[in-house]
Amino acid sequence: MKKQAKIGWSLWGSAEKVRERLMIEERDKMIDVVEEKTRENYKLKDVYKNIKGVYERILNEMGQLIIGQEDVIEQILIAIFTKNHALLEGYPGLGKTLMISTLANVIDLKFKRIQCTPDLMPSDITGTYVVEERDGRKVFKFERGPVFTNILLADEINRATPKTQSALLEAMQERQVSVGTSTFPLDEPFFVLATQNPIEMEGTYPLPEAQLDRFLLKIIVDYPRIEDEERIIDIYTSEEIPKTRKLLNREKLIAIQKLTRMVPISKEVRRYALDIVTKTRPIHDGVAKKYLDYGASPRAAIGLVLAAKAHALINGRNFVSKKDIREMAFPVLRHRLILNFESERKGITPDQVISEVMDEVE
Amino acid sequence: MAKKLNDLILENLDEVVKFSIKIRIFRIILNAIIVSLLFAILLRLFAIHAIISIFFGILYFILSLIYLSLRASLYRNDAIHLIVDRYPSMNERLQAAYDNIKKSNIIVDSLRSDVLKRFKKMYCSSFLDMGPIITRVFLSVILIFILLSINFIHFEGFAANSIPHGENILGDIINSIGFGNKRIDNTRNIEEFVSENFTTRERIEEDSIGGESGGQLPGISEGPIPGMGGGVGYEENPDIFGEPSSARIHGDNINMEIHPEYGGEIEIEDVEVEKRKLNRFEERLMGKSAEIPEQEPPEYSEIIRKYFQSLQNILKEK
Repeated sequence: MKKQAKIGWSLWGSAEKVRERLMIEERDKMIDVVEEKTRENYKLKDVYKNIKGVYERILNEMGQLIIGQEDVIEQILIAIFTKNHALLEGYPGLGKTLMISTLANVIDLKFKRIQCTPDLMPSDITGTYVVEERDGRKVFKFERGPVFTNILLADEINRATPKTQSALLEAMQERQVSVGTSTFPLDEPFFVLATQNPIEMEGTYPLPEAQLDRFLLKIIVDYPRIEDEERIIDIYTSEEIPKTRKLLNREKLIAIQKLTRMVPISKEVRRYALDIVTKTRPIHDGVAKKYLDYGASPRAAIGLVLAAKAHALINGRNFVSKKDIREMAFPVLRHRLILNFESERKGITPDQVISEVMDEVE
Repeated sequence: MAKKLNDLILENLDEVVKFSIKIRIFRIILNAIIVSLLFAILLRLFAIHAIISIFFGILYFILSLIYLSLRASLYRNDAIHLIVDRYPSMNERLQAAYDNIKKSNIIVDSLRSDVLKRFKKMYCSSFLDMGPIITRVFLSVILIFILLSINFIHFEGFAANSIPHGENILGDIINSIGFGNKRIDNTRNIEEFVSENFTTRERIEEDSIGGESGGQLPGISEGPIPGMGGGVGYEENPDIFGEPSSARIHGDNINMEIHPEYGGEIEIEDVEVEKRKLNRFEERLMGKSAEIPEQEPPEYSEIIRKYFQSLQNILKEK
């Protein structure tokens, strides 16, 4: 009897010890989580304190090589900070590719470039299985394509065939690549910065509207001013071309991406953004019905608010204002509007329509 | 931390809400006064007791208070609009902070801190819009002045004007009464009044200028000097007397013909001003005391009775 009681006591004691150990482990885990959050908060606070300074330093650094394109750089950064992709359109020789490669250097991220041509295959982008000999046996190994990077420059995307474009756009949307039966997640952060030029349309495959919608911004690269062009000539004809430093690492970039989504927006400003987007739909009388066949999607509304948040953040504001919405409306909406025949005939541009839509909303 | 900042923002907003409610109530009171005064003037114009207008003012006040309490849920939004109106730099900032009151992150917290800093620079007095208040006070003063003026001039109201006032209606009434001499018709063996056809105005004229000095018509045919008699002019050929002149007697303009040969120095002097003043005073007193039957001469009682009967008939017809 005494022996049984002893066993019982020892069992109860060991159960207690187990419980205690579990509680300690649980507590330690919670402490870890809290510490992690606190550390993250400190990091976020630190990044947030210097966000404007970081942005200005990036602009200055890029300004050594890219002259007179501050707006374009700002918009590219906005696309990156909002975890989205951007399409750059401009005439050849305006420095689109240089701009993106310089940005990739300034931000300490992996950068790859694809020159799109009609014979470019999807596997050239996503990667493919190759046969490899291992321990005297031949095995299939997935050879990763250039899409497995942080910043992907798809140069002249409209020269690739629709099949290849689709493979790229799927990767953009899903942030993963499916080859055969396997799925490979892409690295974080991942951005596609595609370029296309509005001339030389022969032998090109213009991106369908549904695929254009996946780019947050369509950035128009325009000719620089005369004085800027003089500086460009000086820089690129001198003995030594300046080199850029790395200013932003992956961790900081992810912190900025988190901060971007934290920027508060008032109901009124949100409504304003929504009004602009809905007014582009030609279902009501007004500017849209006059000029457009199709308007912007809800994805455009999400993109507009997100881009406005990033715009506010890099300009040192802790709230989204109508000014942010107005400034971002052009790059967010211009590739999402489909002009009707009459507008195209008259040579009206999407930017003119957006401008009129904003006037109508106000 | 975030909760504390939120509470502080809400406290500040509530303070603005309280102040704006006070301003609104003050405006409602002013509006109620204006409504009362307007109704008082209207009622006074129609000769109705102006005291009723107070009820309209009270009714407006109560309805406005009910409306104010129904909008209670929107007070904070109203306060935000009020602040934004006075402090444009708070626009979007305050709205964003208020709309994201339930969120908590680094940026929202920094926004709250910003808003609180700006709240410290605000003064409640800046929300007081003096324009509408001054306008209302000024309007009240004008309305009070109008009301006092109406009372001062003893305006009897538009209703009083509904009493018929034809060209010679009182004269007609008096004629119809048969105000004149009593005539005895022996053939029919009856007694009757022979009325003289004259107007009220003529009657006053007749009373004012006596014809005792020998003129054919009293006042017109009088001599060059009142009281001397022997008026030359006669109604048969009035043109020879030149341009007609007029004299104002008892407030009535009376056309007069004055012989040119008498010269231009004719002075019509009302010699009985003092007396008439006394008479008017007496008349006023008599108006009050006329109700005492002893003061009515018995020979006029029939005429007075007929006068009022006729007046009543005419009023009924109208």
